[in-house]
Amino acid sequence: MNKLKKTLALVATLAIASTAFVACDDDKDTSTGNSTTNSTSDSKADSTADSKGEEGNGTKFTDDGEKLSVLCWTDNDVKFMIQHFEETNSEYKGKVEYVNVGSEGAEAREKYATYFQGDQDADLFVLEADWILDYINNDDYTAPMSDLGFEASDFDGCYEYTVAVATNDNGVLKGASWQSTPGGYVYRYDLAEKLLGVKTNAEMQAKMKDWDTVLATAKELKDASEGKTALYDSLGGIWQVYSYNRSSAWADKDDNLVIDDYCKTYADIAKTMWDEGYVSTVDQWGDGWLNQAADESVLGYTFCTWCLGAGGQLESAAGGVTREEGKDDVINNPDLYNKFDIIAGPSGYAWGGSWLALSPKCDNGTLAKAFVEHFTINEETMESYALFKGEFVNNPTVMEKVGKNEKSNNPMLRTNPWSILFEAAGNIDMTGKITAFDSQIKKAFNDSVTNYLKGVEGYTSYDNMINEFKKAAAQIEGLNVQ
Amino acid sequence: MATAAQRRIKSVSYAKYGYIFVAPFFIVYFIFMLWPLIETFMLAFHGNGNTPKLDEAGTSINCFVGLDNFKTILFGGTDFKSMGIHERFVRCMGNTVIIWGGNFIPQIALSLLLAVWFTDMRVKMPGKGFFKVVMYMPNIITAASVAGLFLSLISNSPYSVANNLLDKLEVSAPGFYNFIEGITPDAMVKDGDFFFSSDKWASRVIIMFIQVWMWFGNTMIMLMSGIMSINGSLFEAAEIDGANSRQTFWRITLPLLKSIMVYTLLTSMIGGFQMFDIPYMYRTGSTLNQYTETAAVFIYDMFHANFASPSYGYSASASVILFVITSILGAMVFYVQRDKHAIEIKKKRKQAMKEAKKKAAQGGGLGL
Amino acid sequence: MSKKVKYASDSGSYQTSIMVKSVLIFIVLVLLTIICLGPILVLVINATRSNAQIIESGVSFLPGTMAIKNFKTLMNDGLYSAFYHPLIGLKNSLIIAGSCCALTVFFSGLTAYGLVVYDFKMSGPMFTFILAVMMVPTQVTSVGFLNMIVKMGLVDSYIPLIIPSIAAPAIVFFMRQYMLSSFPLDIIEAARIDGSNEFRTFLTISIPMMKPAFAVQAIFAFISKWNDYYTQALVLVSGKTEQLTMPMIVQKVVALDRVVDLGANNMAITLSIIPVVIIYLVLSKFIIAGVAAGGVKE
Repeated sequence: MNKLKKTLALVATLAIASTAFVACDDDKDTSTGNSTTNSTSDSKADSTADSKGEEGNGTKFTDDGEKLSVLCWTDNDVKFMIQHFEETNSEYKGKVEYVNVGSEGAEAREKYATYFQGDQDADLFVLEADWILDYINNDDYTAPMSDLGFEASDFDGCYEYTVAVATNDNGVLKGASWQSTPGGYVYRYDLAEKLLGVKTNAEMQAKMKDWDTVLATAKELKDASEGKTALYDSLGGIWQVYSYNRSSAWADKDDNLVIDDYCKTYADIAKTMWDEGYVSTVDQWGDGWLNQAADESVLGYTFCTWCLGAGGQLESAAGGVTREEGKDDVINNPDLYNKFDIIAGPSGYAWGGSWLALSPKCDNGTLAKAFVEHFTINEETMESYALFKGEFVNNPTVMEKVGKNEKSNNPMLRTNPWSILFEAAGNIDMTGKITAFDSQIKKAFNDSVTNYLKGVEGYTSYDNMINEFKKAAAQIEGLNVQ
Repeated sequence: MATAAQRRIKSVSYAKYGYIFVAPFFIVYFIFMLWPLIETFMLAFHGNGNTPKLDEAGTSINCFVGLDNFKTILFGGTDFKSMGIHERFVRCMGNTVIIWGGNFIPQIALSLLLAVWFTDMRVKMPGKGFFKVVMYMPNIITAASVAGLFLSLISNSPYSVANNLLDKLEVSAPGFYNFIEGITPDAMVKDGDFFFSSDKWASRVIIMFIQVWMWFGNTMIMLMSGIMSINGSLFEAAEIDGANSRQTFWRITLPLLKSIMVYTLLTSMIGGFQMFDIPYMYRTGSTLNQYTETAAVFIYDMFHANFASPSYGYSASASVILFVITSILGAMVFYVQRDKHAIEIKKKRKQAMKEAKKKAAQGGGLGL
Repeated sequence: MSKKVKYASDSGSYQTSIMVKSVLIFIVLVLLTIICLGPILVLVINATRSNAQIIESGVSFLPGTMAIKNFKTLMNDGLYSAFYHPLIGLKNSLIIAGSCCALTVFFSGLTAYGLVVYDFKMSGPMFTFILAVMMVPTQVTSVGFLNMIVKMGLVDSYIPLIIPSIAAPAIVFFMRQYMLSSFPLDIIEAARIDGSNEFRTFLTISIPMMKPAFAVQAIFAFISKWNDYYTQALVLVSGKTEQLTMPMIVQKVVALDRVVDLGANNMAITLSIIPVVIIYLVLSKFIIAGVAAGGVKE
């Protein structure tokens, strides 16, 4: 084995030798790239402006590109957007191209970085709420919206939180969302009437107006159904709602993790729900998740705007629809299909959401500007798109109108969802509560609570759970944990 | 052991052909694989995260931090961050060893037994060829599909087949769940559903089973190809001499199978220590199951979980630690399986050479 | 090899014990077959059932009647038909897995042959090197690999998927071990005396003799490359329709954001394993045939 040893030594020497060449402040290029400091990028942007500013399209980009490339991982949004955009603006017909990158958001998050390092065309791309900060804080991958000639006030019509989320650590707006994603509670009204004696959705809302009432209603439901029917579809669903309940930000101004009564309250509520069977043990997104309303094991779901869209989660929960090209759609379970209704639930929340971001490599300035304007600023086209796709567009004025328009009714729901969700969206107040660490802290906390409920080793008491949560949160870069 | 012919061939200088024949391998290896490898080693000695904070050593991927990553991973520290990483790594290593043991040993035993049965001329039965082909089938399906398949068969979900069956048992034999909870007080049972994919031992045993299920056919085929390469006349001779199956196995098959056995042991061992797909994907929900998280999952998760500032340093140093462990185990396999006879001959030859040299030196000395 | 031999212990009790043993082995094998095929059967049967049937009970022993409908859903439902192009996937996967398989087996054989047959100064260190790099955990090197192909401008190219298979340390190691245990070097000497040059000796004499080893490794290489979603997804970043491979398509089916038709999902997975099963069945015959052809043995 002498030879093996020698080779090992060789490999080790090589490793150390090559390490020596890398000085501490070297700009080593990794697949994720390096976030260059803001000052350098600003000067970069300025110089670009100097060279290209004469184009006269109001943006800092040229119009050299053949097509406007919009990158995304799912066909559900961008395809409809392009269709609507091209139908409204016939002069741009055939000028916009959808580029599929990855098959899930998590995959796209990694693939974008690789994609941008190649020389493929990229103008606009879609970012998801969970990881939008990875990109908007990195000037190599995203350019400010102001490069398209937009001013901050242009987005005044949008929901405030969508603007706050897309603003990076240095206060630069790097994205614009075409949608807001408030959610509510979608339930089977026939079951609610049978088990809870509730006839209208206002009565149902009264039964779920705050968390104490929710617990009482869950108990009533459990007793009435002899333990068969739970109030909530999954723990993930409850967390989605409750995570918007914080009274302060997760981190204070010195980036210290804040552990307060909120944590204890949620852990207690979740534990009661779990232990008493008020929430299904089925995993959100897992097999059978959307089958639970059909077999009456849950009363309803935490659903947000995009769950209600044609063919989304609600449709699956309602038994699904068979679609074949050239044939009429067939509703699989007509007895279940239209038995749903929607209420706002105990507190306002939003779930997910997507933003359009601008690539610094953009070479279709005019088109990119028109596209962003079409979906995020122009109220007329936004209203038209809301009705076209069944989307909750990012503008309260527009949505108030859409909610009153009968064309926006949903065949599966007794009440027009947009009017309910429009009110729910008004309850979301995230001012001063958004930090760069949110999605990671929320995941760490939810994971810890889940382990606590299941009784995993090391999570057997609330204090142990918090201790484990601290260890997980301490891994988040830049966050201090005491 | 070199035969006469071998020595003759080797004495003629065909060395350049040796270089030509192995050149493509090394050229491609150096271009496509060595660089990533060296980078891994380098990263192990660098910091974590992406933001360069030069005043705080060790916070950036660009900082050389020496052995800090290893220290944190292996020994932990007083702050929450080091404690978290250290505990997680230790837990992952423990899981790896447990799951590896529960998959490697039964797998090798089963594969060897089957390989011997299939190659034993005396065992006559219908459909031998069919069985051989079938045993490898599970390996054909992608790991992601396998994990999905088993999740729908046996998992936390009340809709999984196993929990469906348990429900039916409860209906036909009321009190069944109480009975289960009575004999396994620590088991995760809730509302009549067994949490197969979260429970400590259930999830581990299921993963061991899936690993054996997926890989025993592969190992078996490898061993079979080794056994089949043994000269058939040896088996016939043994049979004529009246050796029984056991004697044939221990005296002929196993010794002659040695070099293939070394290969099988080594690859299964390495594969087992690097097992990733099934432990990573066989879980319910987005939370990793801390009872089945292996070292490879740790390595992967460290640079994937936080995309904006991946912990390459910890990830790479865990890789290096894993590499060292597998190398030691690999060396042990070689040591145990080494050809003692050949070594003896080599030693003698060396000694003879030494003595000859000594004599020559002495002769030279006298000459002076 | 299987010619009739008069056994010394051809007595009645010996025959009986062999019979008993054979029956026992048969029973064990039948059980193992059920365990091996059971889950796969579940998959295939579920490909013929509807979404509702699968959710109601995950396992059925009888095939359903929805096979054609599930296939139609894949091909026609706008949700799937946007990316479900099985023929493109099949073609691309065959190109990648096929060429990888050929390159891996040929060059690993060549390298092992070079290491075993020729006695050159570096052969020892080279073998040790191969052994050492076999132990490297694969997960983390992917970062460096991706980095490198980006720098080389090989993103969205098949080259980084195919060419690296020339260097497969584990397979070289297997071939070497195999040659050490069963390759008569005398035959090379004989070929040299006959005036055959070294490459021809390798091509015409060694490869046929190494058939069982080649077949085994060809199966393994083909299947592992066929199923290698991870590297393919890493390299083929833009996911262009004409570049999609079978596992990428299956992954798209499985990872659909929307909750979908489990019957169609199972159908997609089932269809993706059929080509591999065929290749496997064809090659597995070679293993058996390879033994019969045996080559020269001492």
